[in-house]
Amino acid sequence: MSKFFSRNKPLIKEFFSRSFGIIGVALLIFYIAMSIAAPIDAPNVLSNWISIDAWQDNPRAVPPVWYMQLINAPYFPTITLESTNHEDSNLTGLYQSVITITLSNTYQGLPTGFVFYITYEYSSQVLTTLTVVRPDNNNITLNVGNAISFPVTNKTISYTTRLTSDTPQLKEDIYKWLSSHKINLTGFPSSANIIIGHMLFSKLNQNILYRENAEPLQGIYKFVLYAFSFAPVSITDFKIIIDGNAYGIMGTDGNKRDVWAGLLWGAPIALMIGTLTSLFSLIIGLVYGVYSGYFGGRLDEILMRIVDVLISIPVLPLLILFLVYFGRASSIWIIIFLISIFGWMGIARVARSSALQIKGYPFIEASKVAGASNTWIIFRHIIPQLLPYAYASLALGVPAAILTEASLSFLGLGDPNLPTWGQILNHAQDISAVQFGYWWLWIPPGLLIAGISLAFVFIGHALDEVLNPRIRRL
Amino acid sequence: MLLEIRNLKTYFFTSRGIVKAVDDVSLSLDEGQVLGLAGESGCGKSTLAYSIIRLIPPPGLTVGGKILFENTDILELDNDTFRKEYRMKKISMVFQGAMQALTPVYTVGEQLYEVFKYHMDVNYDEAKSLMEEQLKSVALDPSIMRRYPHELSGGQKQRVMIAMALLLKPKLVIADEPTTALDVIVQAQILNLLKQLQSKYGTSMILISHDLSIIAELADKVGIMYAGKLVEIAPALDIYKDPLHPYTQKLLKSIPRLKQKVEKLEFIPGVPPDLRNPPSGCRFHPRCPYVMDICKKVEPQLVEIKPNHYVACHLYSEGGKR
Amino acid sequence: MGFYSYLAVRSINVFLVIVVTMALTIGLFFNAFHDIKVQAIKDEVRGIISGICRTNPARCQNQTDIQNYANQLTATLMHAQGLDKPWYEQLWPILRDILSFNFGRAQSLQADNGDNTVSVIIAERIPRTVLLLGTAVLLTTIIGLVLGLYSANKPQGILDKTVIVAGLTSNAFAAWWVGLLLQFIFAYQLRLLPPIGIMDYTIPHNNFFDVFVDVLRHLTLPLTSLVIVSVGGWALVVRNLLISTLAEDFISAARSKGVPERRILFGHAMRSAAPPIITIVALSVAGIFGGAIITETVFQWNGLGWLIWQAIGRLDMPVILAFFYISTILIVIANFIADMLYGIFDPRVKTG
Repeated sequence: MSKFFSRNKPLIKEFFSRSFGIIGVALLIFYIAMSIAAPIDAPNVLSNWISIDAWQDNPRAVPPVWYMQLINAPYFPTITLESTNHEDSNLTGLYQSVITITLSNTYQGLPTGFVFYITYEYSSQVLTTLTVVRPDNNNITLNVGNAISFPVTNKTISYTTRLTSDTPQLKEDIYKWLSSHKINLTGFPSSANIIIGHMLFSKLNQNILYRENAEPLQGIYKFVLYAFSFAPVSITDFKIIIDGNAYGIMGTDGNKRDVWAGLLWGAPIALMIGTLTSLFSLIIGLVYGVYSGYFGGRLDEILMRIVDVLISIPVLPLLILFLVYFGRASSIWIIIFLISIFGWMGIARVARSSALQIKGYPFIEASKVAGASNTWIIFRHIIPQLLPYAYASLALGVPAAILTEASLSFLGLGDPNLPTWGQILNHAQDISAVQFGYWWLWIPPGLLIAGISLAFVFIGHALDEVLNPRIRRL
Repeated sequence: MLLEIRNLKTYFFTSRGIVKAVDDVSLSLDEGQVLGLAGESGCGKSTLAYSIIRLIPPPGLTVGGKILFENTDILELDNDTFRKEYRMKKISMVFQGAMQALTPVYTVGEQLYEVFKYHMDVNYDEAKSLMEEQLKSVALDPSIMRRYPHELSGGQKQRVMIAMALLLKPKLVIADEPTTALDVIVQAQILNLLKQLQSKYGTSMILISHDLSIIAELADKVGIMYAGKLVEIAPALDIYKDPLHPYTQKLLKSIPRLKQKVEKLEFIPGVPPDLRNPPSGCRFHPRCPYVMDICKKVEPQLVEIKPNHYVACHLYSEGGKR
Repeated sequence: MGFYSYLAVRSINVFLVIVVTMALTIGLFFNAFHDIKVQAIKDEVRGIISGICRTNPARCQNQTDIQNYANQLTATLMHAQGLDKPWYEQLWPILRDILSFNFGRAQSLQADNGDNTVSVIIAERIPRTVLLLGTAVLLTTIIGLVLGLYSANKPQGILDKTVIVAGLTSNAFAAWWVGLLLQFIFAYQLRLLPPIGIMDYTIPHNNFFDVFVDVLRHLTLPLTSLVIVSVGGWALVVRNLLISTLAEDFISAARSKGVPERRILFGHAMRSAAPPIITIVALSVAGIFGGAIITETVFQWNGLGWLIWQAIGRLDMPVILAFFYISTILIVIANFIADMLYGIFDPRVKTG
């Protein structure tokens, strides 16, 4: 490696004297940093991307927090509160466990929903209630115990339950709370008709019924969770997730997924697709072209005729055809394979004409006289001569591959298991993100695709100028 | 005097520095005279020629000096006047590498006619007979007018170029390496043709070549250029019989001669200097066998050593060895 | 090589491309073709049976009977169409179908008039794609030529530097994403232009001019997105070609003849650079076509691209096959036209 650098020092220096080269490398470093950050910042995302369960606690299609701050819109971020700080007591045979979570609400906006995770250790029937102590003292009692079906047991077990703002029992409790506070519920015959996601944090007046009218109530909230049982019981963990109308760095998509995590993982995947595809097409094109040019004659004629024909077939329809044939949700490997298979013809043409030229050089004659085999000459003498062209082609092939993959994904022919930027865009188009103003679903992935392509275009351009000053690239 | 060049400076302003391709060159040419300009490639002889016809490609620029043509400084003329009144009418050029000097997509006739079209008010039919006559004078069949350049041989193309250059009977023809890329027999034919036409019309000519033997065929007067400088200029016979500058001497010894026994062909050690950063003093000093201390410090001036024989070398100034 | 033998060689190439395209289509989709036909027969039989049951309910009493009758009918029809023969004997009928553009019936897609014959659906969409694609290629070519010309005329000038950066940058953008951006800004935010469709059928069109204006309004955004992403790279190519042409000896020679600069640029340089420029236009048609397919889906421009998107969503095999075949032929025709123009512009081909 160090030998490589010392030998090519002038070239490297010249490369970095070009602003395109510097910008390209800087952009590339950015994407490599993203690729390194992905498994650290968002582990498990790769395997969970299409899982519904993994994302179910997030709000659906909400913008990033910073955006709401930027446009000065009332917002409530998505927050997670957790406590394991339970107080257990035993009052003459009645066991009790209490856990309290306090939240100081200063947000101007309203949440869209909530999720409770409660973990019990118990051995006999448990009664639980959750009291929400509100700043206006209009406290709400939720009979969470009625909503949980505890597995029957006679030895101590641990059990975790999940309750949300869609759980009927909780809606029922809120419905009762509303009617007991003289809210006019005309038009809402039963608790099934109300949406309660925002209500815990709304001022208690007639406007509370619709989230868009409701007024946020700021102040100190306490969530006090009680469990009673005639056998020892404790609430070992209480977790509250409040789904805001804003989420994290890049919001969520229509399947509640964290867009930031998807975007991060898009970087290593795009780099892999781009470099592998470009490398495969380069190898195919180089070997094919050099063989054709080196052996010449009839073989050359036939091989080049094949290239003429293949290059005339439009690639995208061809790829669509093959991907439909392989089944719509093809794996990324098939996509890489297909893009490489249909992307080498241009390289083959250039490689052939260079091989034609190089094979006339005296040193080729000399090695022939010395008894070198054709394969030896091709791989030891001709292909190394083509490496400068190959490096630039490699770089310039990457953006083409990335854009092709994105296009196929956008058409719904990508690998749905992976969070590629094309897949995110495809999803955005599925839920009409442009029309509904979900800009965080389509602007960032588009810009990331453009940026990574630019990185390689600039690097390729600078390499080309430095290494191949005489080849005129069209 | 037809042409007088005074202290001409043509520089190329590249991103890596200023290339002084022609640096303070003065020379003159009488009517009917043939001046040969010789030197290694990159010595500035072509740039000098391009300066005269004002075709220095960017980033080149003529930054100083005068080119007096019939006592008018042609560097002062505006582009349109020079284009209409001088190019082809008074000064024309035969290009290096005859292969690419004709536009591939136009027929010979179209390209010949362009000369008339932009200089006088004649239509194609009127010009046709003149063009045919001109083609005959360079020993080409007039039917060649309908041909495209790729259908012509190298010699034919160069004949077309010569015919074109002489079409309006200019006073001065600049021939830049007119015979390179042609095979030897064709070279000889083209040289003969040039010689013939030159004496027939009495045209002055500047003949540029790296090959002194070609210049010997035609030139009355020979200038030797080295690294952007004119180092020696003298009547042709003087140059060949009694070269004064060490560089001229070396250059002459590197030509194989038919009539002499080949003992040893000399070559000049070292490489031509980098014109962005030429050597101090005499630019030839790093390669000169007679180098003295003064050569490294002081730039020699062109001095008349014998009648009409100018040389820029410290060997011949006071304190010189000879 | 004269012009005609040149054309002959190009024609052989066109022929080979079409043969390969057909071979690919058939090779990959023989089973699909077979299934399509069998499915069509089954549908027909089901129609006949339900017709019988409607007119003569008594015959439908016995389920086994009617099922046997249906199977028999299916077998007869399959035999009549040769679908029970071995594969190599079915090849020719399929080939004949493709050659006569007979792709059967679509499984779920329809033409505007409700017809589900694939060739009718495709034929209806072709003009719309040609309108979008053709205008895009034309505009790109013209704008790119002008930009390339002026930047080559003044290398390192402001325009030239812009063209270099734009040319490199535009390689990195997908036309359809730019389409999304334009749609967002001009249709959904500023509401200046319609976001989707080809024509607004809710407003009255009294005369041809109304139709023209309406289509133009719908065409603007998809067209602009296609042109934006192609024009930069294209201008850069023209610029590079012209710059290297302008460095040729014959340009200096023409200048030394006193030819004016305009004529040098538009005559000598442009004419000489025309053949490679034409080749590249031809090659870029396929690329722009790829972009157009997806841009059509963004703007629901009801052409071949929108059709293929619909077909992929419904896995409508006959339509997908026909789309591949037809779009290849369209591109091949475009290339062939370019080849002919090349032959006209390059005297080396013209005179042989």
